[in-house]
Amino acid sequence: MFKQLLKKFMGFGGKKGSGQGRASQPQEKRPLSANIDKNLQALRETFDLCGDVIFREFKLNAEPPIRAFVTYVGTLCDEERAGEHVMKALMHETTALPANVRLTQGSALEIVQNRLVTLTELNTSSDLLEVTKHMVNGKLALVIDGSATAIIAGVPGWENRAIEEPDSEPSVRGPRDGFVENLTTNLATIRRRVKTSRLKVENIEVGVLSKQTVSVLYIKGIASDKIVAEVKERIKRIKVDNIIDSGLLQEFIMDEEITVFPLIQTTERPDKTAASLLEGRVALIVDTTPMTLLVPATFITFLQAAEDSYNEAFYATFIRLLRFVALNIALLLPALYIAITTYHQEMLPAKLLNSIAEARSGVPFPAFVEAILMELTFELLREAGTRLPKNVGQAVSTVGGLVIGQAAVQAGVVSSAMVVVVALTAVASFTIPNISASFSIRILRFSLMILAAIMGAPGIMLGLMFILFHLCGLRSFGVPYLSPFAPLSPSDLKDTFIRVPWWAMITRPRLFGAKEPVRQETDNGPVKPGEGGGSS
Amino acid sequence: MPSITAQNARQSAWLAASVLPGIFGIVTLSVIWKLGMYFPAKTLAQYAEKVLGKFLGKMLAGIYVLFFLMANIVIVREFAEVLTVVFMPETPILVFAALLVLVGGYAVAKGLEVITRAAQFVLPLFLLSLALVMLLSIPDMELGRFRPLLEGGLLPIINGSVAPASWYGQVILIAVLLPAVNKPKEVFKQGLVMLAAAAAVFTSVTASALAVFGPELTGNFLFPVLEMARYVNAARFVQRMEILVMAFWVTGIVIKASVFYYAICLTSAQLLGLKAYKPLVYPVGLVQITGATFLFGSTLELMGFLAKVWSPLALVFELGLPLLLLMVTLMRPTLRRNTR
Repeated sequence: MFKQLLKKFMGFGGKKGSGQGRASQPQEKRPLSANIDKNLQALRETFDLCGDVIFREFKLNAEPPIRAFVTYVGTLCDEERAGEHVMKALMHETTALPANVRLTQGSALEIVQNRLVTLTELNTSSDLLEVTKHMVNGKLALVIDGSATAIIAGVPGWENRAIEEPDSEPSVRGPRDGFVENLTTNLATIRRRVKTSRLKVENIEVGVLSKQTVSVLYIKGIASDKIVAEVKERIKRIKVDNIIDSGLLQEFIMDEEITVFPLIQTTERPDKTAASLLEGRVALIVDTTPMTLLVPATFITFLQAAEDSYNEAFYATFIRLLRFVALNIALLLPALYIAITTYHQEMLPAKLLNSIAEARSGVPFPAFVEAILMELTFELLREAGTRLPKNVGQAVSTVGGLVIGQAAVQAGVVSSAMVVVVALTAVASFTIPNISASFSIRILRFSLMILAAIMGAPGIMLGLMFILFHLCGLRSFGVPYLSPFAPLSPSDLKDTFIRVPWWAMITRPRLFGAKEPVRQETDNGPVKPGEGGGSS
Repeated sequence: MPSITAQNARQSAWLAASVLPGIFGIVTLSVIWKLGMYFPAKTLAQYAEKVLGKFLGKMLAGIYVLFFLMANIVIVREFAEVLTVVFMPETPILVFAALLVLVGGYAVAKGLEVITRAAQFVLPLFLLSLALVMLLSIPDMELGRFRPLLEGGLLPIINGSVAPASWYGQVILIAVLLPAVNKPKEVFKQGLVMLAAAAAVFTSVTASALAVFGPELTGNFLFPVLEMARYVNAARFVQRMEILVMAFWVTGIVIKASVFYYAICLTSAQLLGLKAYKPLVYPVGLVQITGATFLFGSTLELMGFLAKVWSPLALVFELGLPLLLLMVTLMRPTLRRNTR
């Protein structure tokens, strides 16, 4: 049903494969010419009306002088470095060349490349379109008269946000760095944690109109080849104008089209990414996006915070169980409140029932309306809080707290019991570490509330079974979403609701780290002084 | 279920719930397993055709479709009945029947794998809730209620065994599911474990209901376990646990109904020679909803049907017909050799 509806929205009938529209035009090659004027003309035409592109013609310091020009997007390059390492080298330092090396039109390209330009990131290209592509990526192009090949030099120099603590996943213990909008910086933060040549970084360019780099990260030998291949396959299949954010990529490469659950994990934390890589998962970093995608994702990963791995095992286990309880509260409490006050009053102890009945006596609405009203109000406040600038947001929360907490009860619109329920639900939903998971819980909460209003507790149960069936049917890159619970793999339960001490985590998760299952030696456990090393 | 048994076998109901039905279950399981070994990767409907010939085989498959259909209609009706009688007296049967079938149909459309995974997920919770209720009922139990043992001789026990036997006999479903199993050779062993576990659960439930209420009340209650949960009062705070029991009972029923639903769809697809059973899911669901809503007039009619008609009839389908199939297979050596 939803699929058919989706097709309607897709326009032109949603026919697959027939989309030979604008988005997938193949672009033919246009070789550079040996004539500098023609090249200059062609590039000027390409960047017509682009105010941020700089052309600079000059002459190489040789006898006779050789014409050349550099061109780059001025806002993306570091002018100082370009001047130092390219211009100055070509215009002055040619005098420092050894006597037997003569700079002529024919040898210029080779000599400039090998002896003059003092930059490490240096390529050549003889295709106009490729040159253009490099330029919009922040590279500098140097074209010398007489050669049909341009030298591409990397002098990146745009403004970046400094590495900050990740806003969406703060932690008390553990590293404080978060991803930023710059791909290279992000890769550096991961490489600094996974120091091995087996960490592979494959760059794939996505987008037809504007190409965006997507880095596929995995550890060779640990990550399943099948999953890695599948990930790359799915990314390469995308034919779209542009990928603005990893959120877009996420929807393109998901398994199932219609689900409220996030089938791909997102994180802003390099440490979490590194840990996931070591478990055999694959990370996707999109340039200009601070949110990294981790695949495959299972349901339980959304209840795990990075911090759990650093805190003491008992404490981490306690927190995880607490989070699970919170998940249930966030999902079920308003629905249960509706079901109990409407249909199953006998479930409550007499005194509690009395006080709830008393609180509800002045309320004009049935429990369902009351609950929907309050939950919606809360969602409104939450949304207002996120959209508004931080200092105004404070005001909203004050007003909201007053309206919800006091005025609504005093005015007799809702009961005080309902306020408690909403507050508990809200607090519980904040404990879910992953934002997208908490979104899905919020949506499901409303559907369960409706079921509870119609059919009471049995309705809730049937709704939950429906959700369970749905979850059991989901897969993320071939890995069952509910693993390791269903299908059950007992040895993987060690890092789910409980977290065993690190020295006991001998094996990697079976479903994504099976290629090299053993993570550590079995005798890593703590030893009493004096017994060290004698156990094996 | 315990109440039907208790009506016949009285204070020895726990015996009636375990020994004879357990044996029945084991025999059924072995017959089905044997058949499954002779015809690997074939379901009941498929090998019935091989054994009995095209016409008789198709007929048998058709009969089994009806059997599974009826069984599931009974399950759906029981479910709706419990919910309306105990929890929501004003809600029509249709609502619950429809919702259960809808959820089950969703699972069936997603495939057997989804159902089994869900079962795996739910089973521990289900057992835990049952165990909790029994544990909390211990203060109310009185073992004297089991005496005198075998008061009326063996006959009441045999009578009381029929209903539970038909329940154990539901292992017949394995005949449909066997081709989907990864390691069919191990099914027999696993099946035995399953039967033993089911017997343990069922016997202890019956026994604790008897110990708490005595045979008279247990026989009169419609749903003794639910009443038991209602009766619990631990520390003056843990009371009225029937919602908990109901919650996990619902999950169990949903799984059970989906498996039967799956069996109906698969068997009828094979009967009709369809490649996939998906197009049948919704029509079958509609039949089930209608059947569950209109086939029985009242709770008592349902109970009477269950005790007097359905249970004995089910025995024929669960053991009788498969046994017949097995005997025909054994009598036709060519058939055995060809299919090996």
